[in-house]
Amino acid sequence: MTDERRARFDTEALVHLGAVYGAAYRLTRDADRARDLSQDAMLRAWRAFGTYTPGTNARAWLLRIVYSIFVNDYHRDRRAPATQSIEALEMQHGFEPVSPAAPVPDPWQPEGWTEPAVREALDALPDDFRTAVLLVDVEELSYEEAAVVMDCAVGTVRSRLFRARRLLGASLRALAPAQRRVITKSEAP
Amino acid sequence: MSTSAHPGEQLVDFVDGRLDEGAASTIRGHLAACDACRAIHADLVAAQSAAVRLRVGVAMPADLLASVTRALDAEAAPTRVTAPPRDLTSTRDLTRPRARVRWPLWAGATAAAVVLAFVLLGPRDVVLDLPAQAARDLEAVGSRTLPLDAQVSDAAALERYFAASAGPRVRVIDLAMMNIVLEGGVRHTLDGRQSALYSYRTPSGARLVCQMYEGRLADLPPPGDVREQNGFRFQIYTRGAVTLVFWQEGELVCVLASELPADEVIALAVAKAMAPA
Repeated sequence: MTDERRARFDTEALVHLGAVYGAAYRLTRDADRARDLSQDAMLRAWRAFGTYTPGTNARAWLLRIVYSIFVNDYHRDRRAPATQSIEALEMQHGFEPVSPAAPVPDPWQPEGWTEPAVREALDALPDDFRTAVLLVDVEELSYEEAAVVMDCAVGTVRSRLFRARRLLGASLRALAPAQRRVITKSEAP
Repeated sequence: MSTSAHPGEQLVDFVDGRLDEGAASTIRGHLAACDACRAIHADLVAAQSAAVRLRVGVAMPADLLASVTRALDAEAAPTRVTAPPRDLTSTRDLTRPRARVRWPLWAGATAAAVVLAFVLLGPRDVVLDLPAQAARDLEAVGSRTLPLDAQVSDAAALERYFAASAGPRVRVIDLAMMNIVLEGGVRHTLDGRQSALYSYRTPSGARLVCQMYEGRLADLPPPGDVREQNGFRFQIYTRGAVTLVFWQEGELVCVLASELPADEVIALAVAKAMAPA
């Protein structure tokens, strides 16, 4: 019985270890902590494997465990990198409910946005907002799956994504002044 | 200036393709008239496009799988462990140095088996061959778990998007003459290879997804059927309700996937296959 359970776990959960480590690394920004977080997540997943419904999104189920450990444990760490509040960041970028049009980069010409630059801009966001971007844009979860992982309403995921992406866009725009140009009406979707 | 209300946070649903056509059309109309919302929309699209770049895999430590496997073995059979495992039930402080535990050698066999599974299957895919993965991608686009980064109905614009992003340079097949509307596309990974994926909707609402990646037709599993036409070899697969037609264009393998009747999918592929210039 245990062997069978273990075989199912290996096939359905353990094969996602690479994805779990990737998510843990993006959350903790530290290889050693990501390693610990991944191992803890897998062990907790094993203990809770009876609650997993076969055929559902095992990766989303594992990410929920990763995120739960991260929130409960990692946030107790006083050495966790400090981030500004979302309001402070929005103020810093001059956001209003709807701000006047500013020159914006062509989103389809992102050559100047290197991966480290994107990572740095993302890391500057408060955790809840950064996590929304990570879960939806990087881990490719639906809003509904991200809401389950973050234990919040789908509307909250939407709101966090909206504010996080605006800030991320503004940060990247500031990093790539050479790419600034105004999106004209003819280019509007 | 637009007369309709600013869509606000609804813009993020629009960017992610979560709105029905009516709501999306309203937003498109608003964006055409509202400079401020157009600027926000551009930021949202740019940010999403940039964040997608982080999808590249993070290299997992070489010994992590073996370490996790040993820990799992210890949990499953604690009496066979030669050294006491650490307290795994506690909410551990992640800042503490990790305790190194020596584990029995027999656990290595299981680790090796799972390593092999990783090599063969990749970290995210369980026993899915490439056609099955392409079929799964069709479903993922439909369920929006695989969002289209560039939502455009113009094939040339989508080609520019792919040309501007990392990955193989591809053409975007224009099916507008057949009243099949392009929805948009995204850089994706198919069986570990970077691909360009784009999606269409037929007038009846059926979805077609095309992917192109650098590879060889010969590397695919044996097809269910083969058609030779116009100098092309079309390899046809069925995975669940999905028909997949693969063909080679230069260094690119192209695949068209849909739940449309198989003959229709094949006919579209045959009609649109094109030798590289």
